[in-house]
Amino acid sequence: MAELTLENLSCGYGARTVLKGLTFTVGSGDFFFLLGPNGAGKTTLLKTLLRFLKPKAGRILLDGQDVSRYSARQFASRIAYVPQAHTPPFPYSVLDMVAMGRTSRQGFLGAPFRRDIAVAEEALATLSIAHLKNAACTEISGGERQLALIARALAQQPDFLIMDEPTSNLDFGNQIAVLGHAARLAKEGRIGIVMTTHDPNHALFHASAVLAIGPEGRVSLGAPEQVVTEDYLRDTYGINPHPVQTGLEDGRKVQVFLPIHKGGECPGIRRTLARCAAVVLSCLAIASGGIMGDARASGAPAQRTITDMTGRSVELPAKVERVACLEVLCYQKLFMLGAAARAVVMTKTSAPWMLLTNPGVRAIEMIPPEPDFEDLLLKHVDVAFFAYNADRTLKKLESLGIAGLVSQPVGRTPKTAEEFLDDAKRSVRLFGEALGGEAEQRSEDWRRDLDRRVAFVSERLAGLPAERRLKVYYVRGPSALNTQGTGSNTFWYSRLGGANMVIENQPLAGRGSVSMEDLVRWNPDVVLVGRQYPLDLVLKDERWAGIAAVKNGRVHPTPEGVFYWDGGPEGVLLMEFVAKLLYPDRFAGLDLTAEVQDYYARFYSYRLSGEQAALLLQGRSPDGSRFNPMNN
Amino acid sequence: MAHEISARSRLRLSLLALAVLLACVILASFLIGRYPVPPHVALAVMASKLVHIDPFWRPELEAVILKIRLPRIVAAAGIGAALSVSGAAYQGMFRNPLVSPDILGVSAGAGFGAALGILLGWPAASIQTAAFGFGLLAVAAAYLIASWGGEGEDSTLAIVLAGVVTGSVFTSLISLLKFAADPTNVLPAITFWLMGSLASVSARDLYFAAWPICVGMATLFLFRWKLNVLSFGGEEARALGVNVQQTRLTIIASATLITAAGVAIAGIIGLIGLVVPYLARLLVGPNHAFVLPASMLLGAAYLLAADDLARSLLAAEIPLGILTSLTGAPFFLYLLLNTRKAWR
Repeated sequence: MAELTLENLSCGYGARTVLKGLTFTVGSGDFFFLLGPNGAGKTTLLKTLLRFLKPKAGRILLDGQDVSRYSARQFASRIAYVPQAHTPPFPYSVLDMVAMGRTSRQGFLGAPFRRDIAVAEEALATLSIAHLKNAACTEISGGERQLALIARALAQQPDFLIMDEPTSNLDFGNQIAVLGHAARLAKEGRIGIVMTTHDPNHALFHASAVLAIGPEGRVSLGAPEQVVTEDYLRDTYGINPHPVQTGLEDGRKVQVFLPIHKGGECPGIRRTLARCAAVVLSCLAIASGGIMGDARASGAPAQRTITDMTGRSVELPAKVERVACLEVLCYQKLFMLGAAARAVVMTKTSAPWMLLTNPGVRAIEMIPPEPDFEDLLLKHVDVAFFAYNADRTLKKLESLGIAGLVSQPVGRTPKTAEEFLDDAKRSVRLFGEALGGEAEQRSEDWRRDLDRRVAFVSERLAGLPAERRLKVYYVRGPSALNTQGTGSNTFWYSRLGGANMVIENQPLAGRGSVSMEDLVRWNPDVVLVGRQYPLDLVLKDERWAGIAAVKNGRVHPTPEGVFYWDGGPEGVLLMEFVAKLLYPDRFAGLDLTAEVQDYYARFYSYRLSGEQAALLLQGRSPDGSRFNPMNN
Repeated sequence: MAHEISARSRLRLSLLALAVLLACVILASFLIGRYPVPPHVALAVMASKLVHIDPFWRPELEAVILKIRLPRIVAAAGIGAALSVSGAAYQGMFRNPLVSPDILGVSAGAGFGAALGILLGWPAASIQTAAFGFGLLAVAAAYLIASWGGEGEDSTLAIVLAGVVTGSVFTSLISLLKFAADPTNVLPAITFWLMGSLASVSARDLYFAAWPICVGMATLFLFRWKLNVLSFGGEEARALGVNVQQTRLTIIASATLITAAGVAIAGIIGLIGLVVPYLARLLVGPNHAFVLPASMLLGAAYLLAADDLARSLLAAEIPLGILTSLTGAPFFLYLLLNTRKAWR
């Protein structure tokens, strides 16, 4: 005979105590009812009994031992919970669900064994729902689901069942069926049942004892006919109870009550203070038209028209003094054309030789990719060079009246070296024209220098048959599989330098990627690693081990300058570098160190020492390192 | 009883069918690739690792099979299985089919760790470690916030809310790093990393991710029965004798280990943890004892097939995250439209 005892128990939520000083005992075979109106604390007490809530005071004893000292498993094998019939989240079969009642009696993992299935089937049979065992528990009726939940609790083989309003939400017939099963279980004497209900008549029919909660938390405890009285019902529910005598099947006579409405206000409203807060939101519509005005009026009058890389005609002030570099290849051209000091803002770049050759660059404000347009207005920018972005930058610059020139090739990827060189020249010329004066002259010098270098290399390579050209792959980084195709300096300048670029004609621009299997198939003779990435990207990767370039020790770093050689005008030096690297015999007389020194002197007015030029050609930074944190 | 046995054996048969499907996909994956390898050579190369066969093939064929395809296949199958099984476990635990393994912010955290590593120019191994570490940190933060916020009767809601908050904080931090990053190099590197790819998975990456993924998967698999009970909610599970706090923590820790390790070597691979458990449930019903193994098998086959497409469809590698999301999105839509039907 098991005993569940409450000793001077107080329970509640948070800071609030709902019920105080409860003392009673429920034993095996008892059918104990908790009765009370909504919000009276029935569920709070139930949850405290189930240990979901901690008691505010007092204690709960199971066979003389405080329940707080039981583990979850020990507790579940003594006391089972029957929740209100709910729709489970997953459509488990009824048998699967009932078998979960065995959790507390299984091993650590909770896998059900044959015996557990047998217990579950027995529980189903006890409640006369064995035929439902393979039905989905989401598809049976509410009454059947409630019985299945009771079966699950029975499968726990507990001493007590704690049932939370098992009859609510059930139709008349199912209420009687569920109550009948519960009453029978209690009568058999092996288990005790504690159950909450809304219906006083249920308690009068079946209870062995009732705890009735009245107004203001007053409780009365005792036999049902002593506790569930006319006065209790009138005071608690605000009704006129009408008593009716009736006989039960077992011959007992009971008095039950028909609820009659008292008239007047609805009782629930008395307790419930409905507070409605009407929140009025007012939105202010701010008309912004006309604020912008015509920014052009404040600048110098437009005096000339220039065609940018998209073919747009753009009006420019006669003198361009303040330049915004909104794309990464802009600064190098300004520097090369002697106009670096005119840059007021530039997109952040950090190539290795930039700071050394022009310390003045530190004075130029570095900006994120998305410029602050107000700042551009504030700085009275005469012209902004930007990469094509029709929807954002272009529209915005136009609306602000800032002359904007698209300064990178747009639309097509070059199909031939001629087209590529043409694009390179056009973009330099664009800067020359926009900056005017000496800059324009310098852009012409650069074009002639380019033509001369191309002619020289082509002449030396003349007669080299296609099949004798070495296969080359360029590693752009950060991964060895990132490379560049026909949209890049590296592809065309290397090809002009005599390389057979394995990337073939794939129109990859700044940063594409290829597959490792293609690389095995291409089996390049030479691998170039750009952007100061470590050669270990290739050398330390076992998948590369069988590739010719790795086997023959032909993995080389490429040099980087004021900008990376894979972008911008200085990339022309890559052509000579590649040509000399691949065909040293044909370029025996070409002194790369001298070529680099010459280029830097001519276009950057900077004298590189022989040592510095050698460092640059090894792909290193002025400090000798080959590591650039901004690269990765 | 006879009927019951036949229902169980039907489910076991479904699992067997899925295992056969996975084996076929694995075999096919060895044959697919941009480098042409004749099927008999592929089979012979694989067999030569078990029994002695005199190589009659060129050495680079062996390199393609064993050094390029094998690590990718292992990685794709492992990560696919792991993400799917964590998705299934989370859906059971959070009682919601729209939950994915990164609901608690692990991917955002890992993404932030990787972005930070990329921005600071760390080597690949450190980037992976940072991704893994920040993934764990994000979920730990969410869990601590939730348990600090008070013990509600059903604390999963608090955990999810805390996870959404930490996730969005890390997402903003990623944006902040992107904003600060050099637009030519670092920014695209971060973006590409976040798109997810197995293109450069090597044996070293596998060693890195294998432990957390195996431990996490094994733990979740052992908890498959308890997940059934947990899916009835905290109170009921507790009343049935489950130590809810401890079990939830174990499941969260396992799923987080898995997802963080997966993201660390493959980037963010979306939707798989959401879609695969759903498909598995269609095939084997709701019982997690079957949903979990079915999700593993199906997830491995799914990600492997997606990766086969990623590496063979175009000359350039398509980021895997894009492919899984593109193919997963129609399923997701179907899921949204049919959630009530499938679940209730």
